[in-house]
Amino acid sequence: MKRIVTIAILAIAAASSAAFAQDVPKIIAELDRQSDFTGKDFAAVYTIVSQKPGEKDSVTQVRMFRRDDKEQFAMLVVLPEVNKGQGYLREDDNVWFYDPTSRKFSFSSIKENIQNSEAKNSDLTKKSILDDYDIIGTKDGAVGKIPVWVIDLKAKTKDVTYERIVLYVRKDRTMLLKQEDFSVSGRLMRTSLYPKYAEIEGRLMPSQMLIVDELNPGERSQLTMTEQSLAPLPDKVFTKAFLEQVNK
Amino acid sequence: MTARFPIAVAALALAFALPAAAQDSLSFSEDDLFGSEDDVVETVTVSAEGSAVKSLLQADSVRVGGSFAGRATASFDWNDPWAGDFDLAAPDSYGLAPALSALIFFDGRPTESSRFYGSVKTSWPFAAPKTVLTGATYLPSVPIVRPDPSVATTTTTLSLPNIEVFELFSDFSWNDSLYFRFGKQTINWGVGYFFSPANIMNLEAIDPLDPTAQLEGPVALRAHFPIPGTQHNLWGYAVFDSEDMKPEETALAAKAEFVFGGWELGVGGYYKKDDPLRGMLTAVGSVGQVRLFGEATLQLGTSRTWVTEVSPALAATRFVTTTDTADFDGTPFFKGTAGLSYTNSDAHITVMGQYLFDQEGYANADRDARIAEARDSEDAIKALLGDDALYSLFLKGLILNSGRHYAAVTFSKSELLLDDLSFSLVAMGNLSDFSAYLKPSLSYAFFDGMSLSLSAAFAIGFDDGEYVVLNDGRAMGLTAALTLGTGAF
Repeated sequence: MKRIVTIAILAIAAASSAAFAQDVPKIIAELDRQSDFTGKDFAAVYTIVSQKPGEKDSVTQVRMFRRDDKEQFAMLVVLPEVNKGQGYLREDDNVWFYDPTSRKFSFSSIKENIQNSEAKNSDLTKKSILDDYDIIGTKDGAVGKIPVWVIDLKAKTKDVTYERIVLYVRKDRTMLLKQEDFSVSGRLMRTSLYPKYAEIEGRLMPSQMLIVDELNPGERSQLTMTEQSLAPLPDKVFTKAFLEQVNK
Repeated sequence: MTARFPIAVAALALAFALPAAAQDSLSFSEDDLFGSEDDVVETVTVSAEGSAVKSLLQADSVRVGGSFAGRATASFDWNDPWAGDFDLAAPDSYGLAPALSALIFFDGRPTESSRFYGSVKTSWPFAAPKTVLTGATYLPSVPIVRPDPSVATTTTTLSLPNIEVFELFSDFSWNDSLYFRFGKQTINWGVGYFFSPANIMNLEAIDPLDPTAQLEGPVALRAHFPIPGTQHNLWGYAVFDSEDMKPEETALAAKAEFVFGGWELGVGGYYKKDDPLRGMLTAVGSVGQVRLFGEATLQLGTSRTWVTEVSPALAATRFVTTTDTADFDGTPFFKGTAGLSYTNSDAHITVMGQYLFDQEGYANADRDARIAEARDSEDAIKALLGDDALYSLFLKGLILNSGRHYAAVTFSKSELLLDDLSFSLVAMGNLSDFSAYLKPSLSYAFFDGMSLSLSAAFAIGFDDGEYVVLNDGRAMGLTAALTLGTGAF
């Protein structure tokens, strides 16, 4: 009898695991949907506090405008004062950087970090995990005391920032709580935690992110989102003319 | 404006700008952050429509800001340390150069479609002496005493303030689709980093040792039309380079930018009466993490004159004969440049390199012949000038930018062993005469407001190489520059 119970438990566990494995694409699709504002414009202010050992915390604040329909964003640096007026304009994979000190535009890669913090431009934009990664493993786990699905993903394309990512997704509600980013060599590069979310017209956006640079011990950033808006933005926001207009 | 944010201002900004969560010490404990299964979702009240954009474009008050730069540089130079009698304790020259400069700007935005901006620069010494003519008296000829008539003049020395209007312009727009800027403004046409042949409207060229510095521009009217629904842009310019000119002397220029795939392409033209007609092409794109850029200009005619002979017998024409620009009115001249840049923000490394071809440079045979003539005439010209230093200036003027092939490279790494220690190497080379200038530097930031940079500079090449002549030999220099209180506000 004891043996039958054990076999039954194992069978249920296996069936559950198999069912979960089938649901993983749906879970990832939901994560992608949460960060997708197609059909809407999105604006917010992001504040990034970066810590480095032996240094004062540095504060970067950027105002972000997004139009996911056209894969566009405009990002303007508000703080620190020395960088105020710098701006980024993105459409598809093209990124222009505007430097008010030289009054020059230049192309910039989407994979660059934001203003010397641990956050990258891609942290603030629409995710497309399902398009960019293959699922290579799944298992149960926990983040703190919260049960999660642990989903291991490998890049399909070289256009992504990290070769492999591991997602820790809350089981009772599809929310990404933690993400680990790995290099091509398999080295852990960055760990991100998502302890707070904002619900905006049915979509969940992380309103607080904590990012740990695993290569440089002690270097980490906290990113918070405020002043969210889904109001329509004028087309001019996504032009070079706008970046020039608003700079100092 | 590259210095760090002052601590007090940063603290104030932090206190006022950050949400409460960001002011706490950062906690990264998963147990603390995810200690219960309670929801961590907050419902957001969205901001009013248009408020975010309006807050950037319109302001009730005029913003005043600027930057301050302070520096003290000690330098020690050895003209030819490789000659065998090098003595570290006995430089050929040394000195201390304190420098103090500031830029102040105002930025007024009374409506969303209008903006008024101006900036002035000053630097120490804040006044410069200038001798001016205060009177002139005609003195007729007087037999025996003054056989020829002449003029007696009186002068005085004034102290003129060292203040320069760097930018002064107004932005305005029509129907949120056509954007105008009128006034004194920087006009960046090219995409080059160290060299930019397409930079033809600014009043100064890029300094390869300070390539990111803003260039002073002319008084001009600019019209900018972003083509709706695309990232293509059309630009038109009318440049006014004199306060007293004829309408037909206005320089006209136009440029179109197009985005195809991962590349931005530019095509433009420049016309000014009696100046060479110029056309230009630019391209910028990326391959992987490497950014590539290039620009090419083709001009009909030239503004440059070439030295065709150097001789002490030509004292009346500063010891040279030169070509006449009119002889080249129908001759095309090509300039082209290509470069790359790579940044690895995880490794804190940036590499940039660029090559320049300048058809307006001398052919090697002509260049060598002119330098040989100048060398052969050295004693005679020195005697006529009466000052060896003036001959040195004459030779440097002859050889400056005389090549057709140039290259420049920079490598920089921040957080080198220590967080606040950085290294950079800048190298510039004249590939026509195989001379180069190298400058490695180590910089350390003690704290916000104070940093120290130690640099060495080397000029290498043959005796008549451009960078060897410009540095008075295969020179070596050591500098220690202390940056003091530099910052923006």
